[in-house]
Amino acid sequence: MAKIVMEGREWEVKRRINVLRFLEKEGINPEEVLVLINGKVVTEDAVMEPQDEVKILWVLSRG
Amino acid sequence: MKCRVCKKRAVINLRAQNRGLCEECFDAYVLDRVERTIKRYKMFSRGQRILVAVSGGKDSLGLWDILARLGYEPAGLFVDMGISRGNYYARSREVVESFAQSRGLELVVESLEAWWGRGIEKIGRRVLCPTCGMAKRYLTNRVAADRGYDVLCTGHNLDDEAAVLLSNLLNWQVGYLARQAPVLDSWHPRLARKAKPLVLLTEKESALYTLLRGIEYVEEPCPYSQGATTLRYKRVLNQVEWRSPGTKQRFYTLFLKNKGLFEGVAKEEREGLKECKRCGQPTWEGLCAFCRFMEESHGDFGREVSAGDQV
Ligand SMILES: [Zn+2]
Ligand SMILES: [Zn+2]
Repeated sequence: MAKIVMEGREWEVKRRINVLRFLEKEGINPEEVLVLINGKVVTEDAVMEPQDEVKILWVLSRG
Repeated sequence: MKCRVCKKRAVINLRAQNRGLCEECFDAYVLDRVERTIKRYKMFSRGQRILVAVSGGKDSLGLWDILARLGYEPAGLFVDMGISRGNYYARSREVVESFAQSRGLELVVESLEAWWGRGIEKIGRRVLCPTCGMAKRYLTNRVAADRGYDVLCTGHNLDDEAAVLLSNLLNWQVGYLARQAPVLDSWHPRLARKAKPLVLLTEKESALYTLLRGIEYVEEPCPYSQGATTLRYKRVLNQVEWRSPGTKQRFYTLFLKNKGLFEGVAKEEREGLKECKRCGQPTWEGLCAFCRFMEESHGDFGREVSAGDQV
């Protein structure tokens, strides 16, 4: 299962899924995040495999 | 996705420019873009004395790093407002100091307490974000102007500027619109010249640069932050950006092209300026906002230090 974390939120995804599809499904705007798969920054067309560790970083500063 | 330049694996899809870039080409792109911004808006040149206002956040540290790599000689300025909640300023200061040390960069540290005998948490009954921001801008400008820096740089990015522009337009703040610019000349000896070299980089690009450079920064905002409105405008603009890539940049750069529309207001404002009776800063009132606030906070300034002694 791909484990996806984003600022306290967590998902587990069983099948391989395209980054963009995942973000759209969760209502996350790709303009506002950086996605790292196994520590590497990827573009929206990358695919998350079941064994991947995925981190989503929110880029907008709040202050 | 592959890099448009070298075909390696892309780390970002620059949709506004319809191209992907790999890690190395993205790094080169950022340096080039900032250098072009500096030239395009005639911000400053090599050999001048440059001061970068650093908060410990990603944009200001990224900017400091970029300017040093481009061969400018930027000093950093950290202003400690005396906020102890969440250990906020202590942690920010640590991050900034270790960044400066690791790169051999000059760092100037100032604190509100050194000027006025106490920090912002001890002035008045409540700490208000706009008040703290005003005082911080005041001190930042004073340090830059009094110490003779040629220019004061801040890390505002395209998302920041587009959000402020939207807010100024929604409220028809013509005075603010007249003053919103990537570079502001000093039109008074006590006003520093100001520049924002990251205005053509999106927040996402700025964040990616800082991440790829391995720069450590403070992620959370100040514990008293009230930046919710600006954040809302940023998000609205990003929704439009996602549907029509390039919107943010067009919105901002076309505004700059049409800024002459507000020249009348700008001129009127400049002509109405007086000097603050306490500190000599240009202001539209008898006292500037900072001195007025200090007087209103019960007239008791603690062991007030004469600002002149500090520089
Ligand atoms: Zn490349
Ligand atoms: Zn004053």
